[in-house]
Amino acid sequence: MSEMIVDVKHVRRTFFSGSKKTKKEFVALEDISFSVSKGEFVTLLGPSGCGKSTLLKIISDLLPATSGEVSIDASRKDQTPPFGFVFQDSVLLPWRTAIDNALFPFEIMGNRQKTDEAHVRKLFQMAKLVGFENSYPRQLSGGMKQRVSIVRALSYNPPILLMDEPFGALDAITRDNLNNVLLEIWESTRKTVIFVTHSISEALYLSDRIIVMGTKPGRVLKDLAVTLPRPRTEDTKLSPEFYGLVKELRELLK
Amino acid sequence: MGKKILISALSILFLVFFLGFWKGYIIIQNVPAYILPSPETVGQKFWDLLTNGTFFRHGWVTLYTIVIGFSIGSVLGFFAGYFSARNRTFEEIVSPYVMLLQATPKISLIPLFVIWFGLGMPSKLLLIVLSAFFPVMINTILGMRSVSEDYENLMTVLGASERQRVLKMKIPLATPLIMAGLKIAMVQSVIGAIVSEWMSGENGLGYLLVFGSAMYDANLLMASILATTFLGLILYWSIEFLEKKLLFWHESKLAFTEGT
Repeated sequence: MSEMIVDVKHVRRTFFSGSKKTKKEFVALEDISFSVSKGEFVTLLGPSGCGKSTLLKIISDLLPATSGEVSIDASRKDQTPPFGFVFQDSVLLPWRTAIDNALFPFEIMGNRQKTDEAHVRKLFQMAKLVGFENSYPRQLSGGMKQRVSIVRALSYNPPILLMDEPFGALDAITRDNLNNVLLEIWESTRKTVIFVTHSISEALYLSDRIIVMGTKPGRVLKDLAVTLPRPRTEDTKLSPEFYGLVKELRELLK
Repeated sequence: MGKKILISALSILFLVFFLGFWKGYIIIQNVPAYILPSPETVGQKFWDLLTNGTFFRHGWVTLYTIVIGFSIGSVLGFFAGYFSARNRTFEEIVSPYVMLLQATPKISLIPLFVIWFGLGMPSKLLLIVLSAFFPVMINTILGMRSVSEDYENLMTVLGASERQRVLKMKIPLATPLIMAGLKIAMVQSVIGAIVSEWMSGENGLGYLLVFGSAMYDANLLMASILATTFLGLILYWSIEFLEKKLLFWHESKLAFTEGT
C-alpha cells in the first residue's frame, strides 16, 4: 500500500433551504469516507445532485464540512497551496495572454513562490499549446482555454490536482482529445488527481479508482478499482473489459 | 468592400436629401427666416461663431464644468458602488434611498440648488455630480456582483489577499459594466450642464441657447444646437476611446482563431 495523501473521514454536509420559518435541512453528503494514495487518479462519479462537486470543495477547503474531517498529507515547506484546481469553466483572466494566465498564480503568491517559467513552458508543450502562448482567451477555443486552465493549476507544482467536471462543457470529440492530453500530463508528472464527472466512460478511461456516488442523500455506493491496463488508448474503450465495467456502473447508477 | 462604399454613399445621399427638403420647404412654403433659417445661413452662422471664437469661449466654460462635475461624480459613484457591492448590509440600508434619488429627475433639483447655492458654479457642479453619480454607482455594483463564483474560488485556492482579489480580478472583470455606466453618466452630465446654464446663464453653450431664444435668433439657436451636439459627441467619443483601450480583450474586439 502506497503512501496516503488525502483522507476523507465521515464527512457530512448539510444545507438549509427555504425561508426562516420553513427552514428545511437538506443532507448533501452523508458519512463519506475514502482515502487517496499518492499519485493515484481517483474519480468521483455520480448523477447531478449527488454532492460530488460539494465534496471536492470540502476537500479543497473552499467549503467547510458540517461534521467529519479531511486530512491532507502534503505539507509543503513553503506556504503554497497543496492543490491546483480546475473548474468547469476555464475562469481565465481575459485581459491576460495564455502564458500570463498560466503565470498568474506566481503573481498572487508573490515571494512565497519563485516564478518557474521554464516549468510552465514545459507544461505548455505537454498540453500542446506551443505557439499560443501570446494568444488572448478570446482567441482560443473552449478546449484550448481548458488546457491553459490545467497548465495554470499545475504551474506552481502542487502535489494534488482537483478537477470539477473540467470537460463537461465541451463537445465529445474535444473531450476525448483532452482526456488523452490529461492522461499524458498525469503520466509524466504523477500528480495525485481527484476528478469529478458524471460520464461513466470518461471515469473508466482515466481513473485508477472510481468512487461511485448516489443521491438523496449524497453517499458512496461503491469504491471500484479500475484494473484496465495502462497506458490507455482509444482501443481500451473497445475492449470487452471496458464494456463490462460500463455495464456494471450503469446498473449501480440506475 | 463595395458594399461599404455603397452604404457610405447612401448615408451621404440621405443628408443631401434632408438638406434639400429643408431648403425646398422654406422656398415653397415661404417660411420666414426668424422661424426657420435656411441650411446655408445656419452653416454660415456656425462657421462665423466658430472662427470669431464665440463657440470656443462658451464651449470651454461648458466643457470644463462637465469635466470637473463628471469626474467628481463618477469617482464618488465608483466608490459608493464598490462599498455597496462589498457590504450587503450597507447596500440594503441605502438601496431604497438610492432608488428614490435615482428616480428623481435631477433637473427638477436646479431651482432648489439656485436658492441654496445661487446661480454660479456650485449649483451647476452639484447637478452634474448627481447626474454622473448614480449610473456609475449602479453599474459598479452590477459589475462587481456579476463576477462568477469560480473566479472567487480560484483566488481562494491560490490564497489571494482581499486587496489582490479586488485589484487583480474583481475591478478588471467589472470594467465592461463600469464603462457602460460612465457612458450613461457622460450623456447625463452634458444634459445637466446645458440645462443648468439656461438657469444660471451668463456664459456657456446653454447660455447661448437661451440668449438665441430670447433674441428670436433662430439662426444663432440652430448653430448653437449644432455646437452642443459636437461637444456631446467629442465627450462621448473620449469615453469610448478610453473603453477601447481598457477593454481591448472584451467581446468582439479580437478576431477569433479556429482550433482545439
